[in-house]
Amino acid sequence: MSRVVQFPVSTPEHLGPKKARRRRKPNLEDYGQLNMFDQLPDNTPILSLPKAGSFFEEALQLDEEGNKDAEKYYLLAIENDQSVEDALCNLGILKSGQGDLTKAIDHLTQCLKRNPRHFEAHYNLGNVYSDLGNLELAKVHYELSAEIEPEYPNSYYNLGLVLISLKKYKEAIQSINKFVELAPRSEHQTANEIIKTLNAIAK
Amino acid sequence: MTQDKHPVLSEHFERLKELMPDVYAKHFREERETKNQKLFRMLKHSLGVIEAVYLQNTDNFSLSKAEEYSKIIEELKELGYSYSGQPELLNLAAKFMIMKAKKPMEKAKGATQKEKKDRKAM
Repeated sequence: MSRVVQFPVSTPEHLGPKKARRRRKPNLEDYGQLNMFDQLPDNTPILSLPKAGSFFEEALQLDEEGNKDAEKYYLLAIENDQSVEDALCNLGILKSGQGDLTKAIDHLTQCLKRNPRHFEAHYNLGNVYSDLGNLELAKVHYELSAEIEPEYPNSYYNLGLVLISLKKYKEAIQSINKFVELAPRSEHQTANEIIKTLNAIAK
Repeated sequence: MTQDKHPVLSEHFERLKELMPDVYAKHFREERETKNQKLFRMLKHSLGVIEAVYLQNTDNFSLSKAEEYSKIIEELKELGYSYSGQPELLNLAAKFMIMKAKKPMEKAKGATQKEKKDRKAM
């Protein structure tokens, strides 16, 4: 008697559009992988990658916009070794704006530790020390910033104000005259009035 | 009906007041003082406390506090009261007001931006 062997027929594949179906998430540990990233810890900081090219540039952009995240990005720039001195200097400015003058001095001096000729750090330290009432130290830092960047007018203006407070009127006149020499015409008026008053006092 | 003041004793105390005006001065002053004068006296006393705190530790006295102090003295003068104030504190406040006019902080722009700024046209 002959035996009927059934011919193996595979069920035809359904042609046409295929619906997307929700798949069950595979358990990675079934495949021998340790599933470390199943859940994010609650305190994970979510920071987007810098749009502006580097963490420092992103921080600077946010800083100009007055965005509070600037501080985080300056810290990231320091961690990633991007414009570290400039990031420290700008962190000092942020801290001074928040009224934390001790921290501001800390950041600015850290900056100077890496680059003792960082002109902005010297100038900004001058501002912080004058806010603290330490006019002698403020004077030293304004003088240094003028020495490093002799074309920057504001160092001479602020130095002039410190010299007025220290009652060194002749030196103050010289310093504010230098400011007038370097600054744009729009900023001359107040400076000229100060010089006029100082000339009257110094006589 | 009892009398408030015994005529003989009253006369005696009046005589004592004449002989020792210092002892009775405070009492008289308090009687005659107007409300404004009392307030001015209290204010002078408070300013004296501030000055004592300053003299005890000059370093702890921030410039902004010195400025507030000088504002009070200035307002007192405008109201017609005379109070000269502590000269050192007023000097400190004057320095603070001068330095308030200073130019703001300067941000560091980073190496790349500085290079772009320094690049000259060929």
